[in-house]
Formats: sequence, structure tokens, C-alpha cells
Amino acid sequence: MNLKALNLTKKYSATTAVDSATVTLEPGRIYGLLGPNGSGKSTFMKLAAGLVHPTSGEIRIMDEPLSEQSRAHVVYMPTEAYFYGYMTVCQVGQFHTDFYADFSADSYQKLVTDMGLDMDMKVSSLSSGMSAKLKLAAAAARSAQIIMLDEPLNGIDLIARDVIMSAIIQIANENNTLLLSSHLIDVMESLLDEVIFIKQGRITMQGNAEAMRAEHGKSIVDIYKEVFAS
Amino acid sequence: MIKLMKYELLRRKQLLIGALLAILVLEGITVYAIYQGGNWNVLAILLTFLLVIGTMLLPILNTVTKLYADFKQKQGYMLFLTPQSGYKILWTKTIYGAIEILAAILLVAGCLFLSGFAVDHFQGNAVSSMLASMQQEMGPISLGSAGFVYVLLIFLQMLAQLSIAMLAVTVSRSIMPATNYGWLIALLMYFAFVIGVNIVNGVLLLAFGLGGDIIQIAQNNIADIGGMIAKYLTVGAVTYLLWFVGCTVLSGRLVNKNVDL
Repeated sequence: MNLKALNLTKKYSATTAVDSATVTLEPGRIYGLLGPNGSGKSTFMKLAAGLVHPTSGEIRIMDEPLSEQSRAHVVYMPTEAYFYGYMTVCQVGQFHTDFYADFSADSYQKLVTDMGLDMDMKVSSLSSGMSAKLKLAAAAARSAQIIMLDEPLNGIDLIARDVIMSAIIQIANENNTLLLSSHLIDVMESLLDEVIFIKQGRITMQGNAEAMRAEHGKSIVDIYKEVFAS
Repeated sequence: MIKLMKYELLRRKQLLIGALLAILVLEGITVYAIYQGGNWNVLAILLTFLLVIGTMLLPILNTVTKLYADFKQKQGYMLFLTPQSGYKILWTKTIYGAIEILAAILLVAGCLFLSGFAVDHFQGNAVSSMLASMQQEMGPISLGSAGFVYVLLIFLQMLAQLSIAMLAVTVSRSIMPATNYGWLIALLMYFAFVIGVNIVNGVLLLAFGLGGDIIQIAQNNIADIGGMIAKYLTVGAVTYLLWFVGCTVLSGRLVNKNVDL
């Protein structure tokens, strides 16, 4: 497996953001981490990226305990714009070239051009849609084993949404694992091989998307409504 | 580490250029005020104070606020997602800060030398006479080497202050990651740490015999006052260096194990 979380718990004083989550993510699959706002999706991803430390439990990346070396195999694209404002689009690429051996500057340049961005643009001057495209270009230009995209469609207009969706499809291959979180489940559903429902920090349901549809006789959207409306 | 430093430099490039220009302008006005003499000397003195304090504080404030921003703002993800350990990131920031401090000291020394030269040139060798009389007072101890040791101690003390401030920011982030008053908590923690450090330093100096030596000085019983001063300067220098290393290692450990972004 590419990622394994075992009884993973994260508490912030009185709040439990992730509660005893046990998940195994296999290569060659696209996982949807689905849940309403505040359900613990982002915290789970941050735990797996090493930005947040677990209160208890364990995360293993490529069969090794999470460490700074694991970050070489992990892409985490947060929902917020997170590149340094002083940088240009070109410097963002240079930064990734400097720190990630799996980063392809050529792919990045192509993605940036395809997404209508200019290498000389300053990060601080980008609109939210442009920032989202830049984040995705930087994430997609890496050939990491685990790619976690947190709400990749946040702040994206309908036209750009197609660009992002096709970029996500292009990232996926038989060696890597994609973990996508989104509240736009109707848009994402067609991409997902596996789904993980998370509610108040607890994994309430997980499994193969096709099998779930067959078992419940409903779409993932309808199952989601059923799980989270109750 | 070099790559991390490169981005620390790029990040501060504009501020550093601005600061350098401001220093040059201030020094230019100072030299002009010295040239004018009379009441202008008051302005020259004020500007020199401003220049020295501002230039020396800038590297510490710059390094600490950048670390705070990396913890507090989303941009920190970019840095802390890289496959670099917390130790490496903290050491990079501290060493970069140390280089800035050294550059600031050299810049201040250069400005003071220029101002001193201007005073000598326009106001009748006032600085040279003062230095000569100081040398006479100091006897066999060379003014140049004493000055060097003094500057070295200032440098080491600033390094210690920098790493204590960074530790305060890191500790406050570790224990209260979500508060909006992190900067205030870090500031209070910094003052608390400084008090603690000064108490430990004081105890150390006493352990090396400071109390007895002071009594000896009061009774005029000290034969080798130079040796005594050298002893305490060495103790001070080693202590500052230990605080610098200790606080940075502790900050790195906290980033590795406790700090949540």
C-alpha cells in the first residue's frame, strides 16, 4: 500500500478533529475523502502530509513511518493559496525543482501554459482561480506516489473546472494514489474508484465506489446525503 | 541548507535593499551634519543612535517575524512540506539570521568609522584624541583587540537573543497553535526566557568566582585585571554560544515533533 493510517487521532484541546481513523490507500486508485465542512478531511490530509502531528495512532507512507523523507513521496495541495507572495510562477517551479527530485520542470511549464498562466506572473497578483490552477500545475508536475488534493475545485469557475478535472485525470496512473477531498461530490463522483466518508472525524463508511452504488442502489451523491443528513 | 537559504534571501531581498538604502541615506545625512558642526551635531548623534539600533535590531526582527509568518500563514506549508527536517529548517533560518547580524555589525562598524573619520576631518581630530586617551587608560591591552573582543561578544549575544526569540515563537506555536494572540504570547515568553537565561548566566559567573573577584577589585587586590576580564569574557562568549545552539536545537525538535501548521 502507499498510505496506511492506523487508529489515527488528532485532538485540538477539547475538539477531536480526526478520531481513530484506520485507512489503507492502494496504488492505482483514486480515493474520494468525502464529508461536510469541519468533518476532518483537511486535518486527515495534513496528518498524512506531516504538517500536523497525530495525538495518537500511526501513519505509514510506502511502508515506512511518516518522516520528512516521506514528504518526497507525497504531494499535498491545500485548499488555500499557499505559495510565497514574493515569488513569480517561474520561481514556484524553481522552488519545486530545488526540493523535489520527482518534479518535472518541463511538465510544469506545459501545465502553466495550458492553464493560461504566465511564468513571469507574481503569485501575489494572481486571482483565486489562477492560484488554484498554479497549485494544481505544481502538484501535477510531480510524479509522487501519493497525491492529496484538498478541495481542488474551490474557487474555480465552470470553465476552469474542466481544465482542473482533466488535469486530475492525467495525474492518475497505476503507481500513484490520488486522494481527493471535495464537497462537490456530484462533480467528482465520476472520477472516484473508492470513497471514504468522514463525519465528525470518524470514518463512517469506506469502500469501492462501484460496489457501494450496487449495494445501495444509489449514486454516491445519494448515499452521501443519506449518511450526512442523518 | 544552501537551497533553503537561497529562498530566505529571495524572500527578504526587497526589504534588505530598502534597509541598505535607508542606512546609506542616514549615514549621508549624518556625515553632512558632522560637516556642518555646531547644533547639527545633535542631529548627527541622534541619527547615529537610530542607525546603530535600527541596523542591529533589523536582522533579529526580520528572522523572527518570518518564522512567525511561516507558522501562522498558509505560505508556511510551502516550506514545511519540503522533505527537510524541522532541525534543518530552523538551523537555516538561524544561520541566515546570524549572517544578517554579522553583515549588520560590519555595516554599523563601517558607518561609525566613516562618521569618526568625518569628525576627525571636520572637527579637529576629536575621535583620534579620544581613542588615544582611551588607549592610554587601558595600558598594555590593545584598543583594537579589545574592540574586536567586544564586537565578538555583541555578535554572540545577538545570536543568543535571536535563538531565544525563535524558541519563544516555536514554543508559543506548539502550545497554542490556534490563538490569534500568538505574537503576544511569544513576546511574553521571550521576556520570560531572557530573564531565565540572565539568571542562569549570573549564577554561572558567580560559580566562576565573580563575587570574590568583585570584592578583590574593591579592595584593590587584583594583580591581573586583564586576565580576570578575559576569563569572564570567555565565560560569557561560551555561554552565549551554548544558548544559541541549545535554543535552536530545541526549536528544531519542537518543529519536528510538536508544531502543527
